[in-house]
Amino acid sequence: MSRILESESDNDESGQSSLANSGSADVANVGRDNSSDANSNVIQRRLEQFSRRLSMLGLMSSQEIEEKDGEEQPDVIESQGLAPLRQEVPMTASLILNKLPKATNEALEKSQQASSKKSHQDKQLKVQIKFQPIGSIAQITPSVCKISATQPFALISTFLTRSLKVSQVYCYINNSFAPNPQQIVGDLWSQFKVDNELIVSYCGTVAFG
Amino acid sequence: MSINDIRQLVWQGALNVQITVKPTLLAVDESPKDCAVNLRIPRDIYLTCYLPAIINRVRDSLRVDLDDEEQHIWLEFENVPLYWNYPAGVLYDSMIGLNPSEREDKDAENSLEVWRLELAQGPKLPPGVIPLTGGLQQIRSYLMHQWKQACFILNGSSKQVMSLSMQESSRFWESVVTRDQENFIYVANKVIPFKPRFIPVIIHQTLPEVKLFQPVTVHSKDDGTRTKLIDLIQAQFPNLFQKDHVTLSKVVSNGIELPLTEDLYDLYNRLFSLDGFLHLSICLITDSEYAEEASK
Amino acid sequence: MDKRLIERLAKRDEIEGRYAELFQKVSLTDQNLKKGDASRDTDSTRDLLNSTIARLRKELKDKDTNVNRLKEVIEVKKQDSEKLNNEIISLTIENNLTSKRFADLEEEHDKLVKRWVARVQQDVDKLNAGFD
Repeated sequence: MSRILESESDNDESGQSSLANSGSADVANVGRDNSSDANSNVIQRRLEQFSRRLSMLGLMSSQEIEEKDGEEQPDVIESQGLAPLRQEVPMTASLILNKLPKATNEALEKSQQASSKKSHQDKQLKVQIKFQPIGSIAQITPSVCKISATQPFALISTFLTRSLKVSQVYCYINNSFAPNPQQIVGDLWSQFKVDNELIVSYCGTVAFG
Repeated sequence: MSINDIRQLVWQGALNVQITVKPTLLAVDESPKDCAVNLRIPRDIYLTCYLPAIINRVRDSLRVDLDDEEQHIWLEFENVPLYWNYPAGVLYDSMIGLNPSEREDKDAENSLEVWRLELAQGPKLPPGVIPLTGGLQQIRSYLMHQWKQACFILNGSSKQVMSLSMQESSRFWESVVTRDQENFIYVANKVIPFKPRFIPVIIHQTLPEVKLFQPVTVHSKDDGTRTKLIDLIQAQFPNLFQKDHVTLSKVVSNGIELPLTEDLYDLYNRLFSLDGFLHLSICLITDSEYAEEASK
Repeated sequence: MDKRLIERLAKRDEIEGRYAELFQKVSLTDQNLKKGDASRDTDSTRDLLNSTIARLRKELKDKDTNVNRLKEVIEVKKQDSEKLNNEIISLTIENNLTSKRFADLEEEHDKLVKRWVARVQQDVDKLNAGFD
């Protein structure tokens, strides 16, 4: 009981004032162009969304930089709430799942278990990336970062644009080609690493056409 | 019977595609059936190249402006957005979970294969779809970078693609657009070596979930023998392709089932797609087919 | 192997090629890929109609955004009214509780007054008895 009373007394004032506010606003808007009211409502909603998002970001940012102590320890690029890309299975194809032999279901289950175990390891597994600026773009410090192997390459471009505060960055692997942004960083790393580092050069303009 | 015959068949393969418009985009009193676009689209090209042609055909029936630059346009199959950056045939094989022999069994003189897609527009692209802002030029640049990547995998550097003259590289792109195989093969032959370091392979898995793999695939194993398709696929999916077992799945590329025991680089040389990669789709076989196989 | 692949590809083409004549082949170098399709006609009435349609589409888009905006407004208003309703309910509860407490106190107060009056009466009676 007492809790209800307390919370009520807390809300009491604000409740009354909002009552008074919206009441007067309504009166003021009757018969008039109510677009300003509508706007303020939209803004209110936006603000609510933003504050929610901000509070989420706030939580993330506290985890963002894990291993920064010690100069030799490279930075970690965190996913910043980006889930690994997942495309859904189209309906027709998913119907095949109902017609599989028992052996396949067992095999799928086995590989699912294996992959969930593996993905757990993969999440811990981070690969090393070395950034090299091309042309007039700023050098990023530190130039060596770590990123979780399961992330798509797009995360690296996003990371660069954010940390360099530029609108667009062109990324190249081994000074040669721009990878498909959907490609998994771990795959790229195992295919193109040099001394266990994936070398990503970046540029503000198109460097290799 | 030669490599060239196969390459030609790969290059000329085409799909019947019907594109309708999302009902929410249609003007009042227009039905999706009325403004369907039926196109014959080569398997070995990006679907997106045909967007302008599709848009021109449906433009008049829409309540929205498709040229609006604040909006994005993409294609969907059964409400799943398609990634435009893989060849049409690859998307078809993997998204419908194509099983070639099952399709052959059902096939009749009057049956019709058609891939039904939907055109969608919205203020935000679905996650994972690469924004397309530069039209054909962007597709061209994407294609060249894919080739550079494939070239790097094959040769250890992108030199062969980077040293193409301006004329050669524009002839290469034109060959894709005009479906002129001769020029395409001319450039591809410059890039593809007799003995590669690694083989550019992309594996598309649809079931139980959509996944892509680009594994490191050696040309020859430690013991000097050349990698076979089965070696790659067993390493990648140990549970689905077990040794000495009735296989639970097949490998499909270009709409056909591949013989697992074949040499992988031979398969690559015959069946590589326009982006320089060999695209493989994993197809799970159904109960009835499994029973048939097991009884053999 | 080549023979096997060719056979399979041919079979594929047979299946996928049925009724292909119903599906139009489009050349990517065609004029009809150009925006706006200049080759179609240069008729001035057509141009006029096209520009009208473009204008109407723009208007429609504005209306659509307006509708969406107003929907959001309704949503916010709904939330507001929900909040207010909750406020009313909680205030009512508080009011009820306070009234009950008030009634209790009043009763207690009455009792006390009665007892006090009775005691004073007693004292007065005692005093009066002393005088007598």
